[in-house]
Amino acid sequence: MSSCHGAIARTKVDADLTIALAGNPNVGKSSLFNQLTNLSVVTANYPGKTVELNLGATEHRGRRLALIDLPGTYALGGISEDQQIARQGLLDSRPDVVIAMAAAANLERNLYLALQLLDLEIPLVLAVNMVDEAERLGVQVDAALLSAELGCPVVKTTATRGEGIPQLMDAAVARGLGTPTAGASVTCQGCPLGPSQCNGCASDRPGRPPDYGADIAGAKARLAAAISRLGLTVPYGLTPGALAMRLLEGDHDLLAQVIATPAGNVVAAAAASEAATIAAVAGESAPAYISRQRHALAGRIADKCTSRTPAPDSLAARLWRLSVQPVTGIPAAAVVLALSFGLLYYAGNALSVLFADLWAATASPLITALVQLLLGDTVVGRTLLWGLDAGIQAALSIGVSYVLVFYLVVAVMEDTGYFNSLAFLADSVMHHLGLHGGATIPLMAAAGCNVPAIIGTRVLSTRRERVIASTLIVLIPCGARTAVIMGAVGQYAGPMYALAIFGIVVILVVVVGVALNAVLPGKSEGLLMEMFPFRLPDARTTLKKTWYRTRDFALVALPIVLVGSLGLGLLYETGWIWAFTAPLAPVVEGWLGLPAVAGLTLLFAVLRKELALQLLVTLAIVQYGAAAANLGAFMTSNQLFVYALVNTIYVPCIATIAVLGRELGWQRAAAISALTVTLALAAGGAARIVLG
Amino acid sequence: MTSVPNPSTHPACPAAPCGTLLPLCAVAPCTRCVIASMGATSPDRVRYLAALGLMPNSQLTVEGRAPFGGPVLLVVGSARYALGRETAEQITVTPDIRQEGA
Repeated sequence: MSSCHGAIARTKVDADLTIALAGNPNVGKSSLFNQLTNLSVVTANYPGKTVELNLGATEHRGRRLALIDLPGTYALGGISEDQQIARQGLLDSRPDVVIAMAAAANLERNLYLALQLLDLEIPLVLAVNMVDEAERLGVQVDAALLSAELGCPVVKTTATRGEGIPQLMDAAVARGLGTPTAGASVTCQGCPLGPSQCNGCASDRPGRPPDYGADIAGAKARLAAAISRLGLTVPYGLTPGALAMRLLEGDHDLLAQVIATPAGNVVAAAAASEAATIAAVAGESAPAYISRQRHALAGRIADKCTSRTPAPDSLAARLWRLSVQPVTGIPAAAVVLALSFGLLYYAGNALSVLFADLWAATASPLITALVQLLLGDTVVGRTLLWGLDAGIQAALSIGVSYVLVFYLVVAVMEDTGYFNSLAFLADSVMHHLGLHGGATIPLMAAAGCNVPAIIGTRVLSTRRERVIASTLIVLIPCGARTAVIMGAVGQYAGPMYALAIFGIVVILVVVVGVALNAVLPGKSEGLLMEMFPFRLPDARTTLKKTWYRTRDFALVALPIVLVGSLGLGLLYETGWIWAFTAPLAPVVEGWLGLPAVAGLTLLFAVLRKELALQLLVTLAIVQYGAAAANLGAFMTSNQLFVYALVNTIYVPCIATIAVLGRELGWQRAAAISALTVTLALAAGGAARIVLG
Repeated sequence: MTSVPNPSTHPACPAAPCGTLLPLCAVAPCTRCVIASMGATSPDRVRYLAALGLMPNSQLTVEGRAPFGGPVLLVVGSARYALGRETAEQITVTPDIRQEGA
């Protein structure tokens, strides 16, 4: 885990207040962060999506606020990566106030983390979010009572619609500053609850620590007193009470830091002794007992503050049940995947044609005229046109059009929660690949972009699972490779040929997965995933997410496409290209049956995979005239099939190799890359032989 | 969920009469039960499960099971989880026959 110290310090430097956002996965934290910062943080309806810290800044009533969006986590232990990063981010950022977000419909489980945050004795404000969804389920939360029980301000919100956010921020700022906020929308010293329920949010009191019973309270008080008495330098500026609680809970990292300080060994011995006392009374280890008592308290508070009225089983709930029953769920999954493919094919093609026609009718003549006016028909002028005209046209019509549609499909699946149903259904199949259902989500995300998918494998608990999942992810065509499959094979050879490439990839993924499962020692720990009900996606959030992802893709892709096109253009216009293609001829011409120059575009595609086809189209445009349809004159359908197949399977792009190296080590990254080249050449050669 | 194989046909999930210890993976759908032991579940996973409220003596409801060695669907408090067979085979539970559902 890399340290976020520098980034956090930079975010905090100009801020009046630092606010951390904490909460369970999928409670709308990222929606709140988006609302507050207008940043392009992507929200998703499955656990563990925000594995890295998101930092941002906003202003509230004239105050500059630094925002730290912690990964969604169920607890602040050190067991899983999401918990580690949430805990470390919280300790490193030393926020003035924490906004804990809880799902109104699932208060009991969400309060566990809120109580753990209160144990840290950092000022807390609880946002009870997704109130609209809870009300549809017949769940009502009494915010005033909850505030009284927890000893901290509680504000009801529906973050996706922005409801309750001003009140939440008023309460958070007041809590963080310990003073009322001028012009705040609340009346009681910054507390939105009114005078009778205010729990001192305008004071600098951290709030009342949760009451887990006399055994734990006694041990904590004695240990905290010892920490104070010994004058221990408490790590991260925690209070003695907060440190005492973490030590009793078995926080190994904090224990190691304590031991490294003067008097640390005495404190560590006292912590061990108090933990042993708790264990002797409770009949189980201190961390287990504290966890049990915290759950019990969360349950009692949730029961007291929640009222439930019977609500009819909603259509979403009925659909969700059908989606996880194999008899209905498996055919439904087949239909959903087929519809997604159809949409990608037809809508992607339509957009592709639209972009190409628009470019040819508007920008292309202008750019061509301008370049010819300035530089004439020279090598430099023609090279520039490779990049500025043909290159950008290819990027728009091949890259952006298909990627846009793809991201829309992914966003809808994420925001409805359908990805989780697929993960549940796929669990038993995943076992054969040495994985479990949880790997389904990164594997499916790989179809968008391999890079975040590989980072997403952090949700898997063992190294073995991460190696297998990352290897398989690399084989899965990302949006860029899908664009090449659709743009080259789908458009010129027909949709069945495009489907065949996906079929070959699926077979390869299964074969490689089964082989790795057999070869690598160890076994999977198995699935453990929260299941969410279906939600009607908020159109604005879904479209915004699609737009941001597509924009990010285009911003990263365009410069590389430009440079790649210009580089290839220079090679072509100077005639050097034939010298470079000659060494590739034995493999590209001899084994794959492709024009040698196509091999050069495959090499360039290591920069970005869709660059392969874009450069090919650019070559076609230069050789055969304006319309991209001339690709058919450049290569036959069978050649395009082999070309797209090789491009799909061989070495992932340079960004994927980099992230593989960072996450799994360079040796494994090299081994995985070598494996894909071998597979690509084997599959491409075999396809050539089969197609004749 | 109803489309699940008979638990007695699963080698690791022998059918057991109600009121006795049995692996979580063998509990009939729509049954409330109490966790008796976490078995040979790894210590890290035991701690993770504890954070979710799954520990000895906690109550849960088995909502369904996927076929072909797939996961078990559990409801714990107000949350719902999918738990893989590997762990569900290790955890033993006592079904609460008084509150058994459909």
